[in-house]
Amino acid sequence: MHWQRVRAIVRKDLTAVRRSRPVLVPLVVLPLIFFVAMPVGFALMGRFLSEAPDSELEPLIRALPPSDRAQLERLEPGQQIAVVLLSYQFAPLMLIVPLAVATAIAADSLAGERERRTLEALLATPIRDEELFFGKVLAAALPAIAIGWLGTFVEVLVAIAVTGVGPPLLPSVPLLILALLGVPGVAFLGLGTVVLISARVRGFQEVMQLSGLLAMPLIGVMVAQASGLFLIDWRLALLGCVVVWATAFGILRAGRRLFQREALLRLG
Amino acid sequence: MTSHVRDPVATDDAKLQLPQRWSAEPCPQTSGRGSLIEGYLEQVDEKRRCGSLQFGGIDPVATDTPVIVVDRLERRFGQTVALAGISFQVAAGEIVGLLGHNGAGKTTTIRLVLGLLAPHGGTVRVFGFEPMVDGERIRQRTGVVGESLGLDERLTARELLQVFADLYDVPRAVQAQRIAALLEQFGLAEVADRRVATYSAGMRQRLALARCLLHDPELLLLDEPTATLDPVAAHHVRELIAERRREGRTILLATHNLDEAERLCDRVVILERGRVLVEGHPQELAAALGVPAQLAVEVEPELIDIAIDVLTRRSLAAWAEPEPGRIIVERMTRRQVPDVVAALVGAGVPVYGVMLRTPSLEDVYLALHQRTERR
Repeated sequence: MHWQRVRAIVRKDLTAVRRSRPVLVPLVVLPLIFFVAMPVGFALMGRFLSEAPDSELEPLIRALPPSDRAQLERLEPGQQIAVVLLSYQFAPLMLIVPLAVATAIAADSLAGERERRTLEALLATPIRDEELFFGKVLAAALPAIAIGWLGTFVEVLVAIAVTGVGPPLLPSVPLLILALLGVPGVAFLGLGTVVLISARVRGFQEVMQLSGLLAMPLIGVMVAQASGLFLIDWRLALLGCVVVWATAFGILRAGRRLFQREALLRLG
Repeated sequence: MTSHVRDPVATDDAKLQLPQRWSAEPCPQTSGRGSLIEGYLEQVDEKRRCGSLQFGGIDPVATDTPVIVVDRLERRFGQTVALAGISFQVAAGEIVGLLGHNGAGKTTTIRLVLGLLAPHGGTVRVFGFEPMVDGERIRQRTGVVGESLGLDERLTARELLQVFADLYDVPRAVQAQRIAALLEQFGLAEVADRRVATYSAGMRQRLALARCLLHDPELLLLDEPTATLDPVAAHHVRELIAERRREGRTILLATHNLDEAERLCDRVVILERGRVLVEGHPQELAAALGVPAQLAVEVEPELIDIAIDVLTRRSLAAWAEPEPGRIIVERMTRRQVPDVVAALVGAGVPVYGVMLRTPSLEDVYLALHQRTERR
């Protein structure tokens, strides 16, 4: 592996993304919504709904692990609402950000590159297929993971500042597991899916639309939690991360097999 | 002048290495249509049924190891046959034009030479390597300007060259210096830090050429390098290509610009529907194929009918041009010119001027193309 070549691909893709408004706008807007506006909103909601009926909060609190439940019961009702929403119920939703960032950059870097007819020039250089693949994967994964981790850190700080609640409830253990393991997992899953879709589909927009379906399972988990079906604890969070990593690994392997000069050129 | 032809039924390398001599004199047996080129092309047809003709250019026996050896190369895309067994060679330091209409197989050939596509039959060797096995080594020594330039418009010229310098393994220590030199040489130094999106077509083409020279390659593959340019920009790019040739680089130039091929190339390989139609030096090709010259004769306008009558009686095809007093005599050779002038003067027709128009590559190409169209 020639790291100079891999770094060149990463540098090129990231410079190009930085200057591409259609790609850059969601990369800025989504983190603001999920990592700043959402925690502030939930914290304020907790304050305004401090008189929330027990019938609504009770099933959620009952679903918590006993140790967390005991600590939560010592908080004000408003704080309880904010913590349940931020640390448990909506925790998986923050994974949408690294997922979206990874898919947007990967779609621009693969399908977009083909659409702009700039891929063949790269293929005409001595770079090996695996170096190009690795460069493209890193170019999408690194900013997605960085934004995911940094965003979670900001989210937790904002939430602590607004609610006045700190560890171990905010951030909770499931939230930390999702941040540390789930963020890179969904980033790789997202970009792996884009690699697979890009092998079949030509345009950037088509790839973006199809890869958008990846957010559906995350929304499904959130809805299931809201309906009281379950509330994520550290075991579920860990299991979810293992499933995501295993799927991402499988998809990336399949994507690597499809990522060959001739196949890339034929579709272009 | 002598010409070479490969044995069309040769199926082994030994035969390909031993070209037979083939007379380049126009065919003595003209076809029913009575044209020299028709008769000649019928011979050409027979000879190239399975192989290709080679006129003029380098003798494969005499050449040191050729940089590119393409032998009965085939490639299909689904049911479409892109290349149907083409063969040609490019010697070190040569500039060879790959000519043909859109879809003739030029770009496919370049992609196969680079190892971007796998052949479905035949072989390619570049620097002695097989592109599908040693593509990396070949691309290391080859600079490419593709049909689409492949310049990311969001980068500046300097950024783009830095990226490609890394991809071509140009040592970091010399990158800045080499990039600055190329930007200067290609007239882009002033705009090096502007995004490519703001560049004109000519500037982009120059940048693509600069990019393909970053690693100081021995071989250049240029696919339609002036196709989208205005005449001034195209002229500039042609000059840059000619300079690269003077530096001793080997160049394979795919183009459908016949004038460009005639000016720049040592030899041309004319492709038609995935086959090599003919191959040779542009000038020698015209002569060998018997593409006739035209003689423009300027006579007294009032005597033009007499002049045409005199020439027709000498079995020459002559016709009056719209310009008063100008006659065109078809299928002329240089040797016939004094006879024509003498005949006219002898018949009392004053001759004010004569000009022999030698056939261009375009004439050759059109003649070949018309022939294949008729079949």
